[in-house]
Amino acid sequence: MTQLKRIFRYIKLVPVIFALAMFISGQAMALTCKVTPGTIPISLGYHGTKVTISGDGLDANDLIIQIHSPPGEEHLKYKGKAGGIFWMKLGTMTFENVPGVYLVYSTQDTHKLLSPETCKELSIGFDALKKKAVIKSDLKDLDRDRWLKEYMKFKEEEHVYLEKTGVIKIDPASHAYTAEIDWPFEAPPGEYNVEVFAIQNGKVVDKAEAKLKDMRVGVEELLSHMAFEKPALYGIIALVVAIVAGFGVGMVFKGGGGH
Amino acid sequence: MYIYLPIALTSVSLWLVVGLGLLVGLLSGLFGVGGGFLMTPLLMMIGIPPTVAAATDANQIVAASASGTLAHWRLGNVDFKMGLMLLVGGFTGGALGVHVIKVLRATGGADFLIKMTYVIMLGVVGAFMFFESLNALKKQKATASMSEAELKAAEEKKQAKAAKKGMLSALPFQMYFEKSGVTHSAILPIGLGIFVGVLAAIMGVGGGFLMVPVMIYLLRMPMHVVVGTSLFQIMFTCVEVTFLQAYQNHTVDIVLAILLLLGSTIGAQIGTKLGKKLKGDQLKILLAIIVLAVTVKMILGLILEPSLLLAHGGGH
Repeated sequence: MTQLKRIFRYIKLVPVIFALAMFISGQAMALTCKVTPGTIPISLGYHGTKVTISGDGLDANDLIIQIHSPPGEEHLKYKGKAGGIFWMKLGTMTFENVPGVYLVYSTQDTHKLLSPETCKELSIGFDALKKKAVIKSDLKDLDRDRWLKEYMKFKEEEHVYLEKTGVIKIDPASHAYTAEIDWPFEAPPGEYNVEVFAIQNGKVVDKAEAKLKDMRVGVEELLSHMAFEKPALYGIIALVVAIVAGFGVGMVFKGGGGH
Repeated sequence: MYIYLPIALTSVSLWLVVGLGLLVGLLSGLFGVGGGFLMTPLLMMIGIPPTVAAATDANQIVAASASGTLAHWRLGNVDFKMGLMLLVGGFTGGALGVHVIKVLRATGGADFLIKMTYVIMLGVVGAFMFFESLNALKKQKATASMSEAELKAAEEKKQAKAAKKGMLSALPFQMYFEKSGVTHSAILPIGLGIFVGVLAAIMGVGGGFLMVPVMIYLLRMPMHVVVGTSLFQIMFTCVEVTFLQAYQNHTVDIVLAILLLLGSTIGAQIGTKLGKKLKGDQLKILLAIIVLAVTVKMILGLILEPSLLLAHGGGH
């Protein structure tokens, strides 16, 4: 009888043990994100680099990875016809609440994976950015859609805005993913947010985040610091280098005759 | 091989930039122009922001013009007296032009004025130089086949034409410019310097392509002295511009300037040596063709719809 009671006590523990096992396994399945390298050094020979974004704990069929700088404002000049004949810069246009750099990688087109409402809510994709952006300009009868389209085109030409599929590789067996991306050299130094969204049946089921830094090192950092912090000295050095180089080469080519 | 530019915040091919410097330096040594009207748009085409392109160009012109001035000085082609007078006028005119632009920017329409001044000045200067040199080359051929009596008649005609500039010779402060072999009132080069300085400031260039025709056609200086003297004057103008741009706007990219001047200083030397082998009118006609080509490119840029309707501020 005592033995039966003991067995019964152990049986009562089974659901608790099962729940604990589920919790632990659930913890292990959480989506992770790792960026390699986490810091990109901008040195003299820098021409962009390869960045690998990887992680595990993926329990979904699709993935969206987006990398962006914090939203800010950008002042640009807009072109138009002056006097109905000549194309030229006519005035200033300020785009507010837009990131300077915005790169999106996904397993399928983002609009196929998520509804426009979800995209807007989570700020995923160009269309979501357009909805949140604000334009200020001296241009009369501003066509918002047209100029936002122009803005996206302008940023894509600069290689700092991108929507791309086919870069992410998913291994369902190990629940892992990898994406090797070309980090553009046009992206200015700064800190970027990396966000990974796991998508299942049109819904975001998990999310992971990481940071990516892009910073000047060595000579690049020294010159940039001097140009902004000691501009007089920087200007004098620029002149001395130019004059010495000019006269130096002149000396090398001395065989010119004359006096 | 790529180099990252710390102020332009972009990466460029080392050989491409050195090559651009070489090309523009060659023109500088050949014609005595700084090449700003050519280099700034070229730099913008390879992705350099307009403000950085214009400021850094001024910095590399310091090197190319220093190299060219030294080469021409050795050849005895620099009229320092005339150069200094033009420089005084140029500095004054530059300051005036900067003020004019400031007022226009406040009232709007500055970009329109800049573009129009550019097209009109380049077009007029280019066309004038082209036809004038073409006529001169034709005349040389005709002179070669002229009889002695015909040559005498032509010389008398030339002297009568020279006597017409009596108004200019009536101006005070007349002085002889030994190196150029001309006599002018000091007011003339200073006044012309002011005129070119104002236009150069409005257009955002050193003004070499304007100063060269002024020296040839209005100051009647010999072509080879014009080139050396123009480079001497450009060197000082660009020293001032480089320092002000670095100090006030932080737009001088020293790495880009070094790459450009690697090419331009060598190009300027080659250009100087090449210039010695070409005749004055051949040089003028070549410069006129380049100026006209840039004008045509600018006109096309004005009338054809651009692929992008947004742009960064600054530049032309």
